[in-house]
Amino acid sequence: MRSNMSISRKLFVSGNYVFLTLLAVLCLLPLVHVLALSFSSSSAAGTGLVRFWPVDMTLSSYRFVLDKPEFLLSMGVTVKRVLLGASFNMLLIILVAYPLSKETKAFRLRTPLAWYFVFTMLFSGGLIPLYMTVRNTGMLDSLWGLIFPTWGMGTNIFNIVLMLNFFRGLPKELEESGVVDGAGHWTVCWKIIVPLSLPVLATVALFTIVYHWNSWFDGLIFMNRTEHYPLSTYLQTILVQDQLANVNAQDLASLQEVSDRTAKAAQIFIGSLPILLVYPFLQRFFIKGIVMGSVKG
Amino acid sequence: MNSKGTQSKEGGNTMTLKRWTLTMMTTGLIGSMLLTACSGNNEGKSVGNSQEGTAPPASAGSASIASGGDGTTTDPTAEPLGKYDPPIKLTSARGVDSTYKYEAGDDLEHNVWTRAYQDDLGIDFSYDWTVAAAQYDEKLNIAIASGDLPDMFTVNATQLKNLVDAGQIADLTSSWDQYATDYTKQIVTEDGGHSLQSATFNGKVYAIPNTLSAVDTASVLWVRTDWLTKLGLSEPQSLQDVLTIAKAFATQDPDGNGKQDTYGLAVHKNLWDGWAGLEGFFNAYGAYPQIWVRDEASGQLAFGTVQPAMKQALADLQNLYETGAIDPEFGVKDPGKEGELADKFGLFFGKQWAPISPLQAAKNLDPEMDWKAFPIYDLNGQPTKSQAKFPVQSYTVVRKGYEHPEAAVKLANLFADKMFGPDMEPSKYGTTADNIEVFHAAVAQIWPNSQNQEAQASISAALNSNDPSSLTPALKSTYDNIVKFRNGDNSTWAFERIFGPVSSQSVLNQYLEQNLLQNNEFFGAPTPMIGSKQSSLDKMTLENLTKIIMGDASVDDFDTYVKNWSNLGGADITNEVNEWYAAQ
Repeated sequence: MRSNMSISRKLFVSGNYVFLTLLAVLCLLPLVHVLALSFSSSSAAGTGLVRFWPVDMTLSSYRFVLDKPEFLLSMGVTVKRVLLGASFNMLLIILVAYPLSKETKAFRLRTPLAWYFVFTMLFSGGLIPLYMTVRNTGMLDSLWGLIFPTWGMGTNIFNIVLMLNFFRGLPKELEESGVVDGAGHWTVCWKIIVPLSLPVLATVALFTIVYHWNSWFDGLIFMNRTEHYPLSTYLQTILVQDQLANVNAQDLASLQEVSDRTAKAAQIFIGSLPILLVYPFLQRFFIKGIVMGSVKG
Repeated sequence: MNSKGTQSKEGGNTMTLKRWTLTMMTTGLIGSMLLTACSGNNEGKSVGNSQEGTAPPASAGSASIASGGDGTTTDPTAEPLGKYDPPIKLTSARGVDSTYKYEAGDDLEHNVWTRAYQDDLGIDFSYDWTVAAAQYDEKLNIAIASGDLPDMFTVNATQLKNLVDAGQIADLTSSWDQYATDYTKQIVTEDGGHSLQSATFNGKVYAIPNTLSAVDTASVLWVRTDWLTKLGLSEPQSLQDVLTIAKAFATQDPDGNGKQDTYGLAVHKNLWDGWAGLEGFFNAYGAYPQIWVRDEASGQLAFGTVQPAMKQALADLQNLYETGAIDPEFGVKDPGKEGELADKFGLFFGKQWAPISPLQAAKNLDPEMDWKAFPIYDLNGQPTKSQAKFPVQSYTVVRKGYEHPEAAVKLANLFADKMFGPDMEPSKYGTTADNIEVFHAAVAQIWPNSQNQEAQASISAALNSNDPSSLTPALKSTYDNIVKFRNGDNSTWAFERIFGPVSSQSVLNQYLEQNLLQNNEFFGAPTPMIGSKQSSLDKMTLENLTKIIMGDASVDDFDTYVKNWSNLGGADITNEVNEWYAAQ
């Protein structure tokens, strides 16, 4: 096969490889830079000596970060939030996607309901009504405020569409075989459809986990205490600072902290490590074609 | 069994379809709202005045009733620092910074200040919510729009105007007149009453201005003196010298490494503010960018950025850029990034605190490095006025309907009293002997104008006499740092350069003594056109000036820019500002 390639084809393929490798390197370099910063001394970082290799190698930033109560607290909030929030979202996504994957004959309201969901992807009540809803349901400043409201996020609707399309692609005969044996919708959904949908479940789970890990704005507006912030909100607050427009001499202490790039780099890195580790573990579920050959005759 | 349960569920499905739909609808709605939450960054900003009438229901008339509403005895309560008995509850909200430190066992809601509120004033103080300082405005805008206000809180000028228009905050006129101590009034009106005026609408005081020091925001000229010595140059006496030195630093290899890697003047992409804004450079030409100054010919206010005086300064900047005296990448570097070059440039017009960040980091690596602060001279060597910011960046307000609006004034009294007044105990309420800055925990903070300059004067005096016994703990710790540096510890070098005998503060002191400050003459609430146009005009300004400095546009394009500025809303803003000015 390789020998069949024409010169121009070979050029094209190798050009592709070079281009994609460069692209991958471009994506990796900022990460490497942050990693190098986190292992460098703060004087070296402050004067811009650090490129892609640590200068004055030290672990002091990591020691500083791991001793920092705010960081660990927010890490705890995020872990709870991801576990609870992602499972909650997954459950609801499956429960919505399953009926919507049926044909109109079997479920008369399918089309209007589907449109109803799509509508919410495009239009919303806005920030203030959302805030008031969360406030009036007593979820302000509690972990639930980070979990329940996320259900209606646009990404979830997208996930529903993804999942219901996968459900539809499954052979109808599988479901029918279950119904013949006396299974109702509940059994069909959980015993037949869901176990067959591992690839899409893994994809959607990844999306929801990453979403919960990354979202910071809800933490900012729904949490009334900085110690209740999830990790992403906490990181956001330490990385985005004022341009020091109105610094008075009484703020000298905060100024000294501003130049603390190495600690920030360490926090970014520790903060993103767990979510990076999730990818390889979910990867093994991305297997295609497992339903091939399940229908005979 | 399983299938049976499923069947009954299905039977119910059609029956309760309606309810199910309803539930789904609610869920969906919540969802769609969250969608905007993600992109809600801008939304929160302009909602301040749209919610009239959502303030918590309360008798509007009670706003100005000073005391006696709940059967308290009037006498002690009516004093400026009188105690409420029984204690009253006061909730607030605030932005916090991760650098705030407390004494052992204390936190934001339990510290020397909250105990003083409780014991001295009978105010049971707590926070409805706290948020990281950088996000305070955003969070507050949501609270304002949803009518969910704490009893007392801090706002910026725009929020203040919106709250007044929407009638959401209490009129503090009588509270201010009756309760503010003379000392509080003195601090707040130190600048000729402009601060208080900016909190006054239709003759009524709606807020306590949280005054800061204006002079601390002025620019000084920082020059790298060890390079001057190395190149045999003398200290700058005029702006002409500054230009010459900048070019020499860029071309004559002052760091002696044989490479063309040094720059004269540090500039960053924001042009203004930060440790190296260009305000000071323009000030030397009699131009006052980004503030409103009185045009003597017409008697009207004019926006400094679009005045002809800018042109010569831009031409010289362009020339500096051409000769390589300015970092060619300045247009993409924020102040922090430009600060990484701290060992590569030798001049900048910057703030008094610049030695702390970014210079100290470079000093740690290069002990030979040294800097000195100079006042700003014009081309002929005459001292020129430096521009300062308006000393009020935030205001303390009380929500309408709160029973004790005067409590806010009492809290400001207490701050002034404990920090600078006759009963001051700065080591307990300001900075403790362990160098913990407990004053951060206070609310309704009002700072006098020349606080730091006085500090510099007393520290210098103590250094001369070698006797720190008269210093407060905060000043003593600065004094110790300077002594440490003088004994060879470079890590505290910055304090010598800020508070030492020859320092940025001594230059600022000179500004005060010789009346060398140019204040922003417009200090009213942001006008409607400022609200809608200012940010896009600022962006245009930044683009145009950067292009001119980098030589992508000629200096004469400045005239085109001024015309565009005027047409795109600048003229309307000028009219509105002058209407305000005429009414003063």
